[in-house]
This record gives sequence, structure tokens and C-alpha cells, in this order.
Amino acid sequence: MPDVQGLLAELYALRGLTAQGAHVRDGDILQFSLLDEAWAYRWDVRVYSIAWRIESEADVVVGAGDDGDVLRRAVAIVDGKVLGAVQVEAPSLDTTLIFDGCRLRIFPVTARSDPSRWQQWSLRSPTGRILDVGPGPSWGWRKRGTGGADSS
Amino acid sequence: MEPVALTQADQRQVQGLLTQLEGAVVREARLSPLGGSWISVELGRSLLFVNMAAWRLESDTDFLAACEDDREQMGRMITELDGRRLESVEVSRHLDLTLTFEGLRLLLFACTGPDGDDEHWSLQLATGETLFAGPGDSWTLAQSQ
Repeated sequence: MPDVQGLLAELYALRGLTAQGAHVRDGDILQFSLLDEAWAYRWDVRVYSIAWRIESEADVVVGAGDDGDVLRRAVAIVDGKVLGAVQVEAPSLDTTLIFDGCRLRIFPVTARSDPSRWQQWSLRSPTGRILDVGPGPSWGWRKRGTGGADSS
Repeated sequence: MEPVALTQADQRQVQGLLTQLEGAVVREARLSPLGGSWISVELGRSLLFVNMAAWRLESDTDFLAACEDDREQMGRMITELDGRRLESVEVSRHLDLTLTFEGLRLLLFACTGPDGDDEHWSLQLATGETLFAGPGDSWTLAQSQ
């Protein structure tokens, strides 16, 4: 079983940060930053899973399977939203980022912890370290440029 | 019948249709030979077909397979459902499905919003009707041809 509580502890620092710059690149990779009030510290979130979805209180706003034009336009709903909580479910590390007024769901799509596969999502810290969640039920920190889909 | 958006009443109606499946035994769960990650699950006299929804298979402790694994992995693991009894099925307000079998769960996740074009999944019922989930939060119940 993955250490979900350990992962949640790593993600605790994100609470209260504000999302900015949400956009989609390379087809359906969702990317945005999380900033503190003074914009002094920036964390970058990248979602590589092909199965993610942004929901408002009542509706699905957009999902990774939508057309490119819809994706590019709709993901901006995240901008300006404050992250209130992160939920992670075992054993797959299914992740939900809960903002004020919307939520981002990231559904894991690779079960094997195969290093040749992309992570489900990643988080780049203000110091440049990268937290990979997935592939499979694995997670961990690495230095920038040492593997993963965003190693360049 | 025109697709309709999923209200709470509709969610209950879809849930009612799905609840009929509880207790059924999987005759055959297979990865589509046509390619991709489509799967079909023959549940008693009903047939679940997973089209555009993402899916994963897990136990309480292990993440066993998902729709972006290699085909060998998907094809082998999905057959683990064969012969298992469906204990419960739950539909979310966005037409995600959680099917709980003896010892395993199959989870479906809808990946498109209201502007999507395709169904997430469909269910051919023993009554001859077919439930189409999606696109978006819409659903359709149609008599099979």
C-alpha cells in the first residue's frame, strides 16, 4: 500500500495558495501554478494523466477528453481560486484538489510503477525539487532533470 | 429519445437501473480486440461496455490495472473479474461508476464535459433497453434495435 498519509503531509503546504496561469499544453497536459499571497513562492502543478476533470459546485466544466479549443478556454476557471484541501485515495493515489468553488479530479490511469511511464501528476517546489505522484501507486521526490516527463 | 442532463432525480433513476445488476455474476470481462482500452463486462444477461471513460481495477490494497497500461497487462487483469459476483454499483452525479465485486472494484471515470461528443459507457440491460451515459452529464435510455 502506498504511504498516503506521508504524501498528504508533503502536500499540506499547498493549502491556502492561489492558482494562476492555468493552461493546457501538448494536447491535454494541464499546468498551473500555486502562489502565496506575496507571490514570493511558486509551486507548479502538471497533470499528465489522460483522465482529469474540473468540476464546479454542480457541473463538470471540462475534462481531458474535450476538444482542444474547449480545454484551452475552460481551464482558466481555476485561475484565482484558493486551494483549500487535497484528497488522496489508496491504493491508486486518486487525487482531488479542492479549490474555493471548483475541484480538480485526477484519475490514475497506469497501475504499474514503471519508470518508463509518465507520472499521473507532478509538483515542482519553489526550490526546484519535483514531487512525482505515480506512475502506479508510487510517489516520491527527485531533483529537477533526473527523470520523469518534465525532466528537461 | 433526446439526451437529458443528469438531475438528482435522474441520478436516482439511473441508480435504480444499475441496482438491478447487483447479485449478477460476471460471465466474461474482456479487453476489446479492436484495440485501445475499451472493455466489456458481461454481467448475467446484461452487458457493460466502457467506451470513452477511463477505468481502473483495484482491490482494497492493490492497484491492479488501468486504461493506460500496456494491453497485455490490461487484457490479463480484466479477466480477474470473471466469475465474481457484483455486490454493489454506484453512479455519481457525473456518471462515474463504481462497481464493487467480491474482492475487486472496477471504477469508471467520465473524461469529458458538457461539450463532449461521445458516450462514457453504455449498459445493455436484460430488458432489451440500453442505457447510454454521456456525453457530459447527459444520459439516454433507448430500446435496443
